[in-house]
Amino acid sequence: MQALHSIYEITSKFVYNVILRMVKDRRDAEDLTHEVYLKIYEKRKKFRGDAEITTWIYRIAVNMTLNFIKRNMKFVGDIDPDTIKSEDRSYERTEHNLDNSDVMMLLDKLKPEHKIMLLMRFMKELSYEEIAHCLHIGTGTVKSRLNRAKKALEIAYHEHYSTMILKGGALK
Amino acid sequence: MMENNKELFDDKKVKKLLSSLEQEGPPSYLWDRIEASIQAEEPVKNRILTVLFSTFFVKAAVSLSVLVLAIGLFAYHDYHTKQTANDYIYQMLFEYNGQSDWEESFYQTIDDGEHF
Repeated sequence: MQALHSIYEITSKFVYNVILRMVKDRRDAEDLTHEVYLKIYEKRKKFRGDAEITTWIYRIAVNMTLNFIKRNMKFVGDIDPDTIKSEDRSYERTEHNLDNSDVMMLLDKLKPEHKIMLLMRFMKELSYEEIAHCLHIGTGTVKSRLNRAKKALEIAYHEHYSTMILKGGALK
Repeated sequence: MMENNKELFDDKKVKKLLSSLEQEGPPSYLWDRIEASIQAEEPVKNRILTVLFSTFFVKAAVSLSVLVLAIGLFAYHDYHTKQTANDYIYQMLFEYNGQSDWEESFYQTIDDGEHF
């Protein structure tokens, strides 16, 4: 129990944050984080030590989160980076400072697999290998999926920016 | 074309964008909740294991006893049957020879070569 508590101290912030960003509801995030750590406790003897224990924990958390989204969330982001057209890229490339809610809004427009990829890579700065282990996919797939996720974010950013212009508002 | 393929959102920009996300820790009571759940589940699990194991050992002990009894009965029956058959053969030979000591009369018969 003491060991689990130490692990919880180290990993819970990222685990809770990722879950919260993915499920967008504090209560669900708490319940899911709770379930994740119970699962970790149950499966502790199955940890083979072929990866960092934190990576193993993130893997459990990511799998449970994606399963939760598949089961319970009907409305998820659906931006497909393949739909981007050349003229879509003609928007002004000015740097805008977005706040927490703006960024959340952008992320919510992405598919869950793209969103979680960006969170793991840019919020926790996990390596390609660690992400590959978490998602049970190859490193090459991680790179290509991450590229698509960035493109999807770019589209979301463009849409968000265009909406703000149309509304006559300005981004902070 | 080159312009279109150029990555507008590079790693640096995405990182900067996501750095705007506020990172918050889980509520402080969450660990207590996890701990309570684990402690509540442990005795139940132990109880189930105890019952399962005790049932298993009781079953194993009963099965073993039945097996030993069955082997014992079979052995006794086998021995008894053979004994009865021996007695029967002895009886037949004894009556045939009309001797009081069958063994003696048998060897005597052989020695005499009476029947050969």
